[in-house]
Amino acid sequence: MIRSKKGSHAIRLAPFLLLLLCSHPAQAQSSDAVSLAPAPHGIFVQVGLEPHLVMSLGYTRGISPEGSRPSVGVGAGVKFSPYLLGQGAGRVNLIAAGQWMPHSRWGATATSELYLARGRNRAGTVHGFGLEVRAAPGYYGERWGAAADLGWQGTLLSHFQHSGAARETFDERYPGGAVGGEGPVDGWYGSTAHRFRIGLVGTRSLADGLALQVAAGSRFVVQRQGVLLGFAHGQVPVYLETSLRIAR
Amino acid sequence: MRWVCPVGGEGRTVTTMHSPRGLPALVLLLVIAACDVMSTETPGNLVPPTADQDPLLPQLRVSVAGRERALHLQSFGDPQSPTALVLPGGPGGDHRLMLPLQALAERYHVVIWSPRGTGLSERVTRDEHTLASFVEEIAAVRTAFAPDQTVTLIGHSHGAGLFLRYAVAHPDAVEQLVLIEPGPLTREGRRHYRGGAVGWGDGQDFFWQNEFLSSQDHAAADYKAVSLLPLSFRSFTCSGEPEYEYPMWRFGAFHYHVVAHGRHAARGAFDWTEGVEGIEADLLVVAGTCGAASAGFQEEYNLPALPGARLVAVPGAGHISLFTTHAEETLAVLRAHLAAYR
Repeated sequence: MIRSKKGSHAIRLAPFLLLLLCSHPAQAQSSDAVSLAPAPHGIFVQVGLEPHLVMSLGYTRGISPEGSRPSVGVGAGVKFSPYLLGQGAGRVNLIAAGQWMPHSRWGATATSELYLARGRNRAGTVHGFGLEVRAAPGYYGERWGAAADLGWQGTLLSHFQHSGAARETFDERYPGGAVGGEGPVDGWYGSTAHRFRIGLVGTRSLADGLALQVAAGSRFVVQRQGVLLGFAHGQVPVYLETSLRIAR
Repeated sequence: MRWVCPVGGEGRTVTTMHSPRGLPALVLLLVIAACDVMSTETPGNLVPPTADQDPLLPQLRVSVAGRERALHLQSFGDPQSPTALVLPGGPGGDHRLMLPLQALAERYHVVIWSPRGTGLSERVTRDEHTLASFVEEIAAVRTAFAPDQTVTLIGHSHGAGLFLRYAVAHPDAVEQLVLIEPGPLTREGRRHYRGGAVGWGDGQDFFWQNEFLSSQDHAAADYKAVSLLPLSFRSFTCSGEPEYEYPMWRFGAFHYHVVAHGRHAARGAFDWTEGVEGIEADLLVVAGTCGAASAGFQEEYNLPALPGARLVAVPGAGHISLFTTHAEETLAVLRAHLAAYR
């Protein structure tokens, strides 16, 4: 648990400090390795590479009774790629997070995020609803922390609205007057994205209420057809994230 | 449910909060909805079905690399005419871009197809993507259409390289060989080739798609090419802008991965022109004057490795526009060169 230098006041707030750092948005966010913030409310800012550039902003607040174990918090955030703002691409997250510390300085934080992601490009517009869960078992000290970064993300339901360019890919397939199937099909699709995460996260206290986190690792997809694609197909197996947490 | 949330220290204020009651219901709704929705794997939902999935497609079944596979294939003209085989570029591209060459049906029996794993041809396993297997595939198509005749081979980009290897392996089967903007055929050429590269900015959306569409099956992976390919063609245009005038059915993403970057990629000292001195057929290289594979690149890196080859340029054309906005000029070059037009 937290070793605060602010006396009894900070010690009572310790569970909520953990809640604050447990509540982080989006798949690109590092787990909450160290509870360093001196207050239950706070914001976070994150910059990452997946390998595309992503940024996240969010706010969390503890909701558990004082001293409860595990401690729980809720929050919300947004994630976006600066290059794609003009296309209306982004992700909104509802966050629930918790921390369990069965032993002094050793425990785990976990987060779950319900999200709505949007993308728009030449092929069409997609809205995806999904769930991301993330756990970080490890060491949580006073000034620094280190933990494993484990997670899974699944977009369970997506709506596709295909563009004219996508529809043109179905043209001219049947010479000689034959008439075949039409496509592509607009509508709702299930289980359109799944990814696993495995990595490491480290946190360092910079000042009271201010912590820096860095996470790095690998992300991969389980293919249904035994097709393992690499970099060329949007499956870069590495990620890098840097987070700054500000608690008040 | 109400939670007591202490905020301050001395004289603290107690604040009550309500937990989000709708959250479990929302999760349940998502789970229920996910049980009665379409799948990206269902043929035709995202991308056109392949020949093995759609019997209405014009196709040819061939036995290659120990497996029988369906090729999406079209033929034009009189079967009694001399045969011209046409292959598209890639790796992974389909033959829709090559369709303007059907105009040669006035003098040839033109056979155009998408190799296994590309376009609307059947998807195949990783081990079936060897270079030897694609040479075998060409032999199988020739056997089907011109078993006792020499053939004219017209290949674009990667397809040109495949035809070159076939001609090396079967010099007696080839009458004429036309290479339209072949990619780098030598190691030195590969070092200097910049065709098809995707820039940092163009790649952002490609990876962002993983938020809602991961490349977990052939259809999802191939679908992503609809948005990415025009951007990758910047390097092939005169202006450096994306090439949106690119007719396509379906890109073979897995094929591209295996052949361009995976186990069967040409790398190191591999030389597409090895043994080319044994080719007796007339050899022509056609190229535009714009982009990474233009006449300048051909002259500097490919022609020196193709003894006896002639180079003809199509002014103002790029790698893709040779078959779109400059199709007539390209056809004019071919008509001026091909034996059946003399």
